[in-house]
Amino acid sequence: MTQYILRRLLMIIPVVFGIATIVFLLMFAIPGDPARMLIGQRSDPKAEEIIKKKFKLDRPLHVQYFSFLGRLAQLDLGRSYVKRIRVRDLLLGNAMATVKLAAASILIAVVIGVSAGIVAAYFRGRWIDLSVITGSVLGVSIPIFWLGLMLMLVFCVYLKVLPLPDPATQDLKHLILPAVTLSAVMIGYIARMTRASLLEVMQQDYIRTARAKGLSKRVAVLKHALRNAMIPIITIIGINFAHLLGGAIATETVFSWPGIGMLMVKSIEARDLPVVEGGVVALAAIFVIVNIVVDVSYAFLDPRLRIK
Amino acid sequence: MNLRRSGKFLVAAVLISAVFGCNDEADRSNTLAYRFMSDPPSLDPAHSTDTTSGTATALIFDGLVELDPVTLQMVPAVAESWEISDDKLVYTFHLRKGVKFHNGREVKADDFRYTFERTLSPETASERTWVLEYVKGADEFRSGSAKTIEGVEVLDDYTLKLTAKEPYPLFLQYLYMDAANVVPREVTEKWGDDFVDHLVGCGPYRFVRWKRYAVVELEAFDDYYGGRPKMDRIEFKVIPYTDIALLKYEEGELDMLPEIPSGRVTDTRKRLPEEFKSWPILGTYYLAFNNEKEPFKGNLKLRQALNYAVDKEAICRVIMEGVPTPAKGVLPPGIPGYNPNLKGYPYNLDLARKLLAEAGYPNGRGLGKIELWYNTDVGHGRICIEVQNQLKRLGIDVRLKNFDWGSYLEACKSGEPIFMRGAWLADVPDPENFLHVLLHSEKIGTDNYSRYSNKQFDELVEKARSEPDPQKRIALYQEAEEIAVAEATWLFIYHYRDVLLCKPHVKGLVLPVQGDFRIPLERMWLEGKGG
Repeated sequence: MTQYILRRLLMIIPVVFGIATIVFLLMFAIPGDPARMLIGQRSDPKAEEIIKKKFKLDRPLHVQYFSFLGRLAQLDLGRSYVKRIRVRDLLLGNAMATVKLAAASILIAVVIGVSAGIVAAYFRGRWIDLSVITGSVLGVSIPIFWLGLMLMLVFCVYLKVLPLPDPATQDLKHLILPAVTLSAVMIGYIARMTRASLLEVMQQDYIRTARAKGLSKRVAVLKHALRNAMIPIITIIGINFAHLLGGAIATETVFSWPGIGMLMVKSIEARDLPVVEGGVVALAAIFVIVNIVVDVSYAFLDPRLRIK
Repeated sequence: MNLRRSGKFLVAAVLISAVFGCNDEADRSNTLAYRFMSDPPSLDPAHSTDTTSGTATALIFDGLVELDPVTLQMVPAVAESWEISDDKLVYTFHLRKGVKFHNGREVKADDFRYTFERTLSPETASERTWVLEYVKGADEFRSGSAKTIEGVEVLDDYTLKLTAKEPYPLFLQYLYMDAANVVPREVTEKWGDDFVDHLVGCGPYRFVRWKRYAVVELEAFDDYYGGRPKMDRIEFKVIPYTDIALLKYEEGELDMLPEIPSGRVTDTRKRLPEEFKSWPILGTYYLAFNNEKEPFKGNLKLRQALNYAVDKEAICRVIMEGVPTPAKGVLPPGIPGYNPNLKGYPYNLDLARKLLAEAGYPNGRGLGKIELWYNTDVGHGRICIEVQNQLKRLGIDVRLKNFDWGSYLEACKSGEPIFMRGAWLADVPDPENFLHVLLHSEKIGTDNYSRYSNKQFDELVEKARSEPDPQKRIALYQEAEEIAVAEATWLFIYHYRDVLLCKPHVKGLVLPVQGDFRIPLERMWLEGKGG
């Protein structure tokens, strides 16, 4: 197992290298000169020239590329063109808000989604099953902007039980609504996946045997079926969590939540190459690590995979 | 509950509270809560280029002079007085004694020399070096061919002499801009590029913290030379979504809101008449015709036809909810040289049809599709769609193309689009800032999007730049503007007005023509907030 994990961790290197190359080339392919963007609407060709020289944007593309890779190899993400501070500090400054939001959303989504999926599978074909399916379709389809605003109107304005968003505060009270909003989509996916996966496992011989031996349906589902049904569910959770760490721009915007998503979008708009490159590379590495964690968790859920 | 379980519970509780923190309920009765629509790009005066950053930097830093937001005259700041030589080349500033930086050290003339060198230094790579470009020797210094700026001399601790490379009427005005605001050498050199997180100036407010994409906090500077500001703290909160900002304002969580969501101005004005403020600012919104490309190249009647065909009153009334005023020319009301007698192009569809036919395109036949480019934004989109609809009545087929700001800026400067949205807010309140920057032929390829070139116009603008008599100068600019308007180089849409919501407990509000970002917050106070 240790060897397997190490092998997978080593895979981060080519993935990061590939992503770094793609992002680097993409950022140069899109129109919009970073130096011109910094200066803004009022042109100043002389200042533009000096800025290009300072950030080495006047050098040939391949020189810039190898210099970027060289820095990356030393884990140096450089400095933001716009904010002029280290990209690492900029990313870390916003990372905590993103991690909080992602963790809380995934927690809500897992608790509600898995429970709803189990209930739907248990009562397959009954009204409760239909309600879960309808609810999950709604969750997936509702625009996040709209849902966020509605939740805010109800809980912050009419009922006044929760505070309105405040970018300066990311405490528990301020976290509830963005986390619930962001989890809505995931609840839908997880509930549907849990239901489908459980129903499939319930058809297996060993469940029939367990039931024939006198085990109640509840015990058969919760003790035997659920664990085996978890592998696709864990996959969905892992992928969603990794996506969330990349930022959830709609939720962050509505709730003034200062996360990675907002930072990345603004940096792309401003052609702040070091931030975009550094951010994407960091997120790619996190994505790979989360996937490794997901893969390793399979082995704990299913001993057969451990032996293989 | 056994000991192990209660221990786990305790650890979990500590972890949760450590991660999610607690909301401190500090006394906020003397704290102003103000909204930022986006995170400021930079609060370092050498890199501050936008209005959001400018709102905060104006409070942290001060320069030699200040622009009075009401009279538009230059007034003393760190310099208590100055003399200008008869040939308008030498400016001698006398600094106040006892002006302190936030670290307690006194501001001296040498700090200004250092600041100007820092702004112009290639190592700083400032975006605003043009602020000092008229100082003698500035070009040589920024290109690295000189070690000092020839036109900056420190006569003694409190006397600074600046020499201009040529007489320039806006020399003094440029010195009130952020890039000329004084910074302490020992702090900037200690922190380098990280100065932006350790800002020290000599302005009325001290920098406390800047959490990116969240909040900028300032607190009153007790030793401010102009007297301690009355408000203890100012919090600029980054709230990107305007509807949420409005909600927060209405719930009393913001004291001032410098923007109202598009489509909700009329309703807000009705609901909050006492708190709604609207005032003219120095800006013009236009659509530029590319004078170097067909079909607008050399076709005055076509450009005039389009101008007459667009009902600017309707755009201002319906799309912009009655906020701006229809434009008749380049210069906005409030700027020296604004000409209220300009006729412009009042809406006249019959005349537009006639001119279109005379231009060679009766009922738009033969004109083909005209692409109107704009940068992606709901407001710009609405205006461009309205122009598209109005020009359809003339038989003109307008296609809309929108781009993100970076791509759009690049395209406009390169001269690619034939018809494009443009807007300008004055850096300094002077006609030169519009007519020279936006329409002089030497600005083709930079800010002259319409690529307008007229020898007579250029000569008038150049003459005005060096004319010492203010009245004659204004007359020259007005003559130049008349030419640009007669030649319909733009489709003139409107002159800006700012809107702002301000709570009744906020007192001493002044509404500057440069826009809300120049509201002198340091002069304001709160009365009965939270009471």
